[in-house]
Amino acid sequence: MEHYTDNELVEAYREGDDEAFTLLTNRYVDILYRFVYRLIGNPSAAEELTQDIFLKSWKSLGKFDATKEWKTWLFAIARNTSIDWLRKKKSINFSQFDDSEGESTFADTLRDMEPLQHELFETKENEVLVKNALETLPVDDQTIIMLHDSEGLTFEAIGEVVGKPLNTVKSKYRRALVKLKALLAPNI
Amino acid sequence: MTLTFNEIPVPKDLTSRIHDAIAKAHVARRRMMVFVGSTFGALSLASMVLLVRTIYTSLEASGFFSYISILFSDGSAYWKEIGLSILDSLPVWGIAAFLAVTTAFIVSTAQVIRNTRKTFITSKIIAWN
Repeated sequence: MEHYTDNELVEAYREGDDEAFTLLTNRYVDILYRFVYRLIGNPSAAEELTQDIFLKSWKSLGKFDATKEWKTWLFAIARNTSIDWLRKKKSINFSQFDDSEGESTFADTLRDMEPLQHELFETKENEVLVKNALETLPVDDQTIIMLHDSEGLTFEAIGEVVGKPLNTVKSKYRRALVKLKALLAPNI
Repeated sequence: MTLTFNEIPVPKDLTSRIHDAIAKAHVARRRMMVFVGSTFGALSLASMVLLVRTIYTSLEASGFFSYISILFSDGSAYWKEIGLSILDSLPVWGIAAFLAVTTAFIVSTAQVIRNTRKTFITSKIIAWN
């Protein structure tokens, strides 16, 4: 069963194989914990939320659409749960750069639209700088960057996670990279 | 650009804690199903008893037993007519209700047995861990 795809494991679990969900959980515990930790920045809360997320996914397994990807659905639950936690803590970073429609006036003033350079990530110090800069971005921007660059999700899948259209996701990704570059520019 | 966060240490016991939480939620759900199944089973059984009495009373009132008696005593020549009378005297709705309630009882009992067994096994696993 180790070689089953995620959706095959879900199907096996629905047919009565309890072991299938255990395998599914094992695949994503580490990834999900790190994703949540990056979003909320609190390790003990990240542990609790990760547990909650898997419980929620188990409880609502009946609602999972087998034509979609399990990973996408799981990250959508993770994102929503993390945002709920941040709202309760009132520490959500709705960027001061974004207007009411989520468009960034700050990004619009930037002229340099080149992508970030690989050299930025070559040293440990730069990695720390990037991560600190990432934390200043709005939650959705962080989510999009992490899911695209760390988890390798397509923009379409990310759109399902964050509940936004494909073009909006791509646009937010580009703007987020521009913001990151602006924040990191003094250190390059 | 590839961001890696693999240096973020994951608590060693997180996976087992998640499995335990899900197993406990599983047990709670099965206990609920045992409770619901038992309730339905008890109601079905009570309904079965009531329906048997009702059907018996209807059969007496409709002359069913009399027709049966005639059929086996001296009804060989008129077996078709007597047969039709017997069918006519059957309380069809009562019998249909009895079959439905019996099915519900069997299904409820099977649910209770299955969930009780699984709850027992899962509880043992949680206790051992």
